[in-house]
Amino acid sequence: MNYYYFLGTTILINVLLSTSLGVVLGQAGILSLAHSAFMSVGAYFSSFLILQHGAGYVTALLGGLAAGFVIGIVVSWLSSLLPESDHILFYLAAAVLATEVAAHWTSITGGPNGLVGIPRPTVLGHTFATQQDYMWLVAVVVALGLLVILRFSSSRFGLVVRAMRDDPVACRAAGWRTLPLQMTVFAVGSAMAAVAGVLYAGQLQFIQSGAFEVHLTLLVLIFVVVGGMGNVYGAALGAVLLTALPELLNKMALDPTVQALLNQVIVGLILIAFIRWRPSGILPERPVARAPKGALS
Amino acid sequence: VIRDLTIAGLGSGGLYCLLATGFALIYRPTHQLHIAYGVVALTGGYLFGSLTTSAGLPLVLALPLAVLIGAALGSLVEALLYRPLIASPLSVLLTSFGVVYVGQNLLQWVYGPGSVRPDVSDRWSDTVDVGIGQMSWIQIMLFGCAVVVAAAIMLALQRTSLGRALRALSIDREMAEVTGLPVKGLTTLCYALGSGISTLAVCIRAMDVGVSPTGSVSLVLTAFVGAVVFGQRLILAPVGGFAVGFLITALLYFVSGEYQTTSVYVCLIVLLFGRALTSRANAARKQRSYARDLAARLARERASSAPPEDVIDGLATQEAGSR
Repeated sequence: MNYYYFLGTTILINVLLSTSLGVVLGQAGILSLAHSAFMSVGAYFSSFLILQHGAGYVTALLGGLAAGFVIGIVVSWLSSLLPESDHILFYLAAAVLATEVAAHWTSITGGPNGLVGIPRPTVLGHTFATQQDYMWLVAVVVALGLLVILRFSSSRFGLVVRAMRDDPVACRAAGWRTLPLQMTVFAVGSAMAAVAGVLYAGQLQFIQSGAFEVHLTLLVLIFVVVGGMGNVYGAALGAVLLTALPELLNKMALDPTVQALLNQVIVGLILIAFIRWRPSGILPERPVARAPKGALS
Repeated sequence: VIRDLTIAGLGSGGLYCLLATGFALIYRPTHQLHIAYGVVALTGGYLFGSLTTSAGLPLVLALPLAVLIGAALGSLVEALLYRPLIASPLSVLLTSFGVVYVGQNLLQWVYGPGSVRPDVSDRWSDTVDVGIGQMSWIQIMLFGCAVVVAAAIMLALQRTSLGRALRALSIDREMAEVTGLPVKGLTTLCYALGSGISTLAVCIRAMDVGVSPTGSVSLVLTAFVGAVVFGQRLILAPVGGFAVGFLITALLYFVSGEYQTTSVYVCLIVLLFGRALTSRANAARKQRSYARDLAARLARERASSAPPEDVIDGLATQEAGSR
C-alpha cells in the first residue's frame, strides 16, 4: 500500500514540475533547460534552512519558493544579454554548473554525499510522518501551485505572454516591454520548480546532486510535449501518464538496471514519435475564445 | 610551465578544433542546433572500440570505418528525424533532445556505465621529442588531423563551388533555395561531414582515455563555444576551437582536480558572455559612428545650401503677419 502512496506523491510532484515548465516553454516559448537546477535550488535551500537553522516547514517552503524566484530572475536577465541563438546552450551550461556546484559546496549541500536526515514536515503541530499523510500534504501544496499556474495562464498577463511568444515585435509595438514579461514568467516557472524540489526533499528525506541532472529536465520536457505544450491540463496529464508508464513497464521484470534504461529509451522514443505525428500533444493548446476582462484596456 | 602547457594545448586544441569545426559545419549552414551531435560522435567512438576489440581490426581499418559509420549515422538522424520537421525549428530541437535521451541510454545499455577503451597497441601512447618537448603519438595525431581537416575545410570553403554553396546556405537559407541550390542534399552532406569529423576526434581521444556514455552534453557545449567564440563566420570555427582547447588546458593546469569540471563550465559561460558583450559593444559603436556621420553631413548640407538665418526670421514674421 505504501508503494502506491509513494508513487502517488511522485506523480503529484512531477505534475507540479511539468506544469511549471509548461508555463515557461508552452506559454512563453522559452526552452528552459535549467528546470532541474531550479528544483535543486528549492530542495537544497529548504533543507539548509531546516537542518542548519531549525526553520519550520512553512518557512522553508516559502524560502525555497523565494530562492527559486530570485535565481530565476537573475538567470533570465543574464540570458537576455546573450543573442537568442545562445540561450539554449547557456541554460544547458547553467544546469550542468548547478549540479557541479551542488556536488562541491559541501558546507551547504553536503557535497557528493548529499544531505541526509531531512525530517518529515511538521505543520501546525501535526507531523506528516507516514507516506499517506505526506501525500495529502503534497496534494494540498501542488493544488495551490496549480491554482497559481491556472490563474496565471488565464489572466491578462498570461494572454500577453502568449502574444509575446507568437510575435514579440507586435507585442512590443503594442506597448509591452518584453524583457520584464519574460523575466517574470521565467521566475514564476522556476519558483514552482523550486517548490517541487522542496516537496521532493521531504519525500525522500535525502537529496544528492545526481538527482537533479539535465536528464531530469529532459524527462520533464517529455511530459510537457506529450501532454500538450501551452495547455496546463495537458502538461499535468503528460506527467501522470509518463510517471505511471515505467511502473507498468516494470511488470516485465527484467534486470533492474536494464529495465530502467529500457524504460528511458521507450520514453525518449515516445517523445520523438509525438513531435513527429502529434506535435500539439494529447491536449492541444486551446485558442483564447474571449479576451479576459481588461485585456484590451 | 609554458612549454608543458603548449604541448598539452596542441593536443587538446586539436581535439576541440575538430569538434568545433564539425559542429559549425552543421550549425552554420543548416541553422539547426544539433544537440545530438555529441551522442552521434560517442556512438562512433564506441563502435570504434568494438571494431578493434571484438572484430579485431587494425587501427588503419577501424578508424576510417568508424568515421564512415559516424558520418552515416549523423546524416541518417537528419534525413529520418529532422527533415520532416524542418518547418519548425523548435520541433527539430526537441527531437534532437529525444535522440540524446534515447542514444545515451542505449549506449549505457549496450556498453555499460563505465568507459570503454579501444584495443590499440600501446605504441600510440609512447612519447617522442618534437623539439619543444615530449608529445605522445595520440597528441600528434589529434593535432595533425586538426590541422589537415581545418586547412581542407577552409580551402574548400574559399575555393570550391561546394564551399561557396555552403557559405551561401549559412548566410541566407531561403535565398540559397530560391537560386536553385540543392538544399536538402547539402544539408545531408553537412551532417555527414560534421558527424564524421567529430567521430574522428572522439575516436582518437578514446585511444587515450576511452569513451564513456555521459560526456555528450559537455562535448556539445565545448564544440558550440568553440564554433561561435570568434564570431558568426563558418571559417573561424577551427580557430575558435583551438583557442578554447588551449584555454581549457591552461585552466586544468592551474585548477585543482576537484574543481576542474566546474571551472571549465564557468569558463565556457564567461566566453559566451564575453562574445555577446563585445559584439553588442561593436554594434553600438557602429551605430554611434553612423549617427555622427549623419550629423556631420546634415551640418555640411545646411551650411552650403540653407538660406541665411535672417531670411528665415523674415519669412516667419511675414507668415505671422498674413494670418
